[in-house]
Amino acid sequence: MPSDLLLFKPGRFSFATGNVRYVDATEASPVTEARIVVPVELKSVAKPVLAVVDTAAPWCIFEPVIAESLVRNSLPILGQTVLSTRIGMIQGAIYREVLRIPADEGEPLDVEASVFLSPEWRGPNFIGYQGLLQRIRFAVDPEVNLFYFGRI
Amino acid sequence: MPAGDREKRENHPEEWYNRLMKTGAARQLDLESQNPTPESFLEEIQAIINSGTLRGAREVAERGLALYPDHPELQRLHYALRPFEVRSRPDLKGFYLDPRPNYEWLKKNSAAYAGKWVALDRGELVLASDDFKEAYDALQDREPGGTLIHHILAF
Repeated sequence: MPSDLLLFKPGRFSFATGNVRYVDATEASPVTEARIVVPVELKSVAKPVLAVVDTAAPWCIFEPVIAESLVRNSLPILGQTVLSTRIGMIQGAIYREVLRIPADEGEPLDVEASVFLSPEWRGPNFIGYQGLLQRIRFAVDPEVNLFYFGRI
Repeated sequence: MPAGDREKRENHPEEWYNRLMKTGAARQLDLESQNPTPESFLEEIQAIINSGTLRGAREVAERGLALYPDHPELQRLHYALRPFEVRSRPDLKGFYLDPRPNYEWLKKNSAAYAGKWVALDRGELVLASDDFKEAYDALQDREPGGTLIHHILAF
């Protein structure tokens, strides 16, 4: 099969229906490695916030102050859950939330995601694999910092 | 085909995970041979979720409901764990503006705003605050497609 057709098999969706520019890092401190940091929107925070794409993270995770806005409008799937992190076990709860990936080109995508929220979380926002990424098709073009996405 | 049916049905890349999945399946069989209570099923669901996945959790709720169809928590979990939907939003095509000016601002100015929430609009700082709500409110009248809220972590 010619390589230009690889991602467009007949009868299937296009591999990607949208893309968004991402940033490698956002923090002031020197970073040793580039990350993929994309904007996402949450229903109760209708302005984009930045989140790190992390295939090693099971769930999506948001900073406590964003979590506060989210929990006001939804019930947890499970009240008490633990998350094993590099800094130890964190207690929290899993919620079901719609995350929107905005599109610079093409169509934005709304994804029902599994989100871990905890007042103990001290890191940045994350988009995890089990919680979101495995429900979509995605690809990265690091040459131009584009994150491609589409429905399965 | 309904949208939910388009979700991933098979997960070949995770086949290497089968050994753990088989252990889980064995535990479930044990569960059913021990006159399980609704709490046994709830504990099983809790264990699955604590292991960092939702895979199989809905099926456990389903099996619990087969024995205890009126149990409210099993009913709630069965609904909460329903297939996750993904929807394209063609109505929002072209709604978002190029985010690069906001990224450029962050790149150049983050050092001066460590620990702050910054509210940005098309590459310009609208407000920096210790308070998320203030940053959020500062953007309320702005066109959302060009805005960004970001917390600059202080290490």
